Amino acid sequence: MTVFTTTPPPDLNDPELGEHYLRLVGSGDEPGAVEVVTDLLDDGVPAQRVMVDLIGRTQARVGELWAANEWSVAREHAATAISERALAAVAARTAVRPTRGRIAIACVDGEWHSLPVRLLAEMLRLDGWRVDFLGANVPGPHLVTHLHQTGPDAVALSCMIPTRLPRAHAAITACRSAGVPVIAGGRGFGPGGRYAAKLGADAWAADAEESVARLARTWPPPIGDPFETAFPGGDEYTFLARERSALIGTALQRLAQAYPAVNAYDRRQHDATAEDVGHVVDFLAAAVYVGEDRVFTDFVDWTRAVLGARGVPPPALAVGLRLIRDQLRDYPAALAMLDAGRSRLG
Amino acid sequence: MLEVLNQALLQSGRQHRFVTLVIGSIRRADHGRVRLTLASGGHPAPLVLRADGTVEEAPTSGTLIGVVPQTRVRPATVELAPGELCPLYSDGLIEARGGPTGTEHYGEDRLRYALSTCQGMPGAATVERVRQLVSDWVHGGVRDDIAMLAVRAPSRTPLSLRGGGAVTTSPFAIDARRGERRQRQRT
Repeated sequence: MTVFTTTPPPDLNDPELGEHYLRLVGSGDEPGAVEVVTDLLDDGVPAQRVMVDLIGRTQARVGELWAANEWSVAREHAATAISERALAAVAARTAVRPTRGRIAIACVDGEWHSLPVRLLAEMLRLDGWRVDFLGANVPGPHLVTHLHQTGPDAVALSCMIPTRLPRAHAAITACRSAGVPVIAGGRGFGPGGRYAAKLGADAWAADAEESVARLARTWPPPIGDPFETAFPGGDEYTFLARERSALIGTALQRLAQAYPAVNAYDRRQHDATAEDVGHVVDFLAAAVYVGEDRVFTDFVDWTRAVLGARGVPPPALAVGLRLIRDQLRDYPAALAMLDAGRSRLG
Repeated sequence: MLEVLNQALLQSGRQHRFVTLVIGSIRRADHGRVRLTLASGGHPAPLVLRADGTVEEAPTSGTLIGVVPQTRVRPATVELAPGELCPLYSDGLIEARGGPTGTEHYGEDRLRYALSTCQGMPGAATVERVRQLVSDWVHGGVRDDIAMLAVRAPSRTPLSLRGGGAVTTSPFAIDARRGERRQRQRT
């Protein structure tokens, strides 16, 4: 008797596969995760689908699990490291001869989320680009040096957190001055990439697939004046950026006066509080820089959710906002944005 | 070896040339353990992140190399169990100035705490996390060169037979306990 067994082709939308893979990366099981990925490739699943639908999607869930306080920072980072190894395994098994131009891919100075960018690098490589992956946290001068040395046809710049927007703007301006058009990506550039357009980026894409599609069509775009968007934010931004330390310092002092319990904080709690107040100033500065309330109100909404998941009540955030507000009498734009943020707390 | 280097630097005749360094040798020991012999010449002592999350300092110390004729170096042996990590770092890391005032050193305490939260993470991820924390700390300020190197005894991964093997327990003890707490609340 002959038994015909047919294995159905693996379905990347199968939630069970996703769960299984998430368990593997979540327990730091690198060989297991790499095996899943290579088995899928063996079964004929296209590398692009494995990267986007499995590795990318899982990574998004890892971020959600951290935000919901289900996973610790350590676990999130370990899982990210495994995802990178899985991505490298896909890359190692797919050789493509470059047929398109050359592209430099980098995260903005101070931006550490390199996995989405690495995924983009591999996707573009598969699409025939010659890719220079510069990685996380690329200081502006290093990026410019690289451009002069290699003369790429495009720079893909990622920014996941809006506080890096002023530096992203400096990088975009520098690239365009060097005659290299910039495609921006990452949540930091706002809904629909609207901050990217304000900062002079030539294009914007929501994710890796969209970037690949955008770069495959009508590239390079005509480059306009790189200094068109020369100095957004004006004096108010300059004030917030320059007086950052003083604003935080005064806020912490007043906090200790208003709430004597703060004096009993150990250094770790003190550092955490200072960091939180620092975020308020940084997001406010970024909001003023691009002239969008939304940068700040999104930050307030997000912080409230993250703190809520960790059992911190909303009034704590409201106190932080008030302490900064009290120091901003002569700055109408910043005040308006702070108040927009405060209104989100009800 | 440090003595030879010391003499070489002293005899090179040029003034003001000295180094601080850590050298060490790595050997595999039984049961997946790794044995490190470390000697510091005026360099911050390497730290050790244990499996339970505690952070220790490798008990090695020594004089700068290339300054005094007689070096005094106290080497130390450190044994790492699977998953434990020994980060070596340069003083630029703990002397990075930043924080709310912009002038405060990052300091060894913060480094130790940061490491203690990295328990169970792969070596590269731990180094990356510390780099990230220090970068946030200095907030784009100027910094001395920072170098880090971490040695980790390979953790043992359970053999997984694609969905068939035993359920892997998370090496992240904190998360595991969290799960228990939630379950208890539910009942």
